[in-house]
Amino acid sequence: MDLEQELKQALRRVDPPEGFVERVLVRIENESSATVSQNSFGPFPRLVPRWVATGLLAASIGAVALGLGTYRINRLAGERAEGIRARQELLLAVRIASQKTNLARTAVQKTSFELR
Amino acid sequence: MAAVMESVIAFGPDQSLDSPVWICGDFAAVVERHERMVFSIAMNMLGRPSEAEDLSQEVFLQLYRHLAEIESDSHLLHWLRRVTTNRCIDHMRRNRITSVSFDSIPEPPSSDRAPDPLLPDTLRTLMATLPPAQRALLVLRYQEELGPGEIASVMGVPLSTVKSNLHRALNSLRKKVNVSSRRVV
Repeated sequence: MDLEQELKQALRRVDPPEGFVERVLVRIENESSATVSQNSFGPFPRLVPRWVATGLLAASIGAVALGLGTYRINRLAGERAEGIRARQELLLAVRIASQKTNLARTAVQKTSFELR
Repeated sequence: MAAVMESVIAFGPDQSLDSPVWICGDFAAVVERHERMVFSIAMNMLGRPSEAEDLSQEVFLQLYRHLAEIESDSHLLHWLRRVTTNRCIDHMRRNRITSVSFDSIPEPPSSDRAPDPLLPDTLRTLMATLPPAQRALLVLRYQEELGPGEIASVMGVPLSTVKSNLHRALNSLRKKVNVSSRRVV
């Protein structure tokens, strides 16, 4: 037996099943569709390039962050002004109380001197 | 959907300007031209039509993605043989498609002189007992009728390795055929 001849006979080329080309094309089509849907962005696929959409999203996030920062700074400034005002009112109250105390003390001293 | 299909049929993923000039036709024609070779390599290595078809389809999918890299018709032929062979070897190693029981091998007729209609089947089944790389060597040598140098280039191994493994595979197969014949006598 000539093994090499027999191998050539046994391993000769065969036709693939009917419709092979069509099935390959369908697989390619499915893969391409999947790639297109993966590349689309949000509810508006292919209306804007991906980098533009990404830039817009980043800008929106930046704007929100900036707004929050400004609000926080303003709030802190307001709180600080309120604190200064409260401090001034407290000082005024202390000053008035001190003056009243001084007046009372003077009156007490005057009365005790007259009694002597 | 229809547009995608048209572009597939027209050329490839980069069909607008980068389409290789050597493709004289559409991608479907490329598949049609090489389907027999790719499917036969897969079929002779894996032995199962459904797995062979699935793997062949994947080879053409990969070709579609890399179409722009192919430089010529001979490069395409070499690429298809290399990718198909490597994918088959990987598939067999992953799925351990190696062990075939001797009982499943069709028995040859008792007389040596009579032509044996079952011998091709016997050989294909016995080939399934060889290691994946040796099977690939035999397919490239006897199906594709490549020389040892071309096989070395397709498989990416040294020429000396191809020669020694081919020799080993043939000897191993010859022994298995003899054992299989003796079982009948």
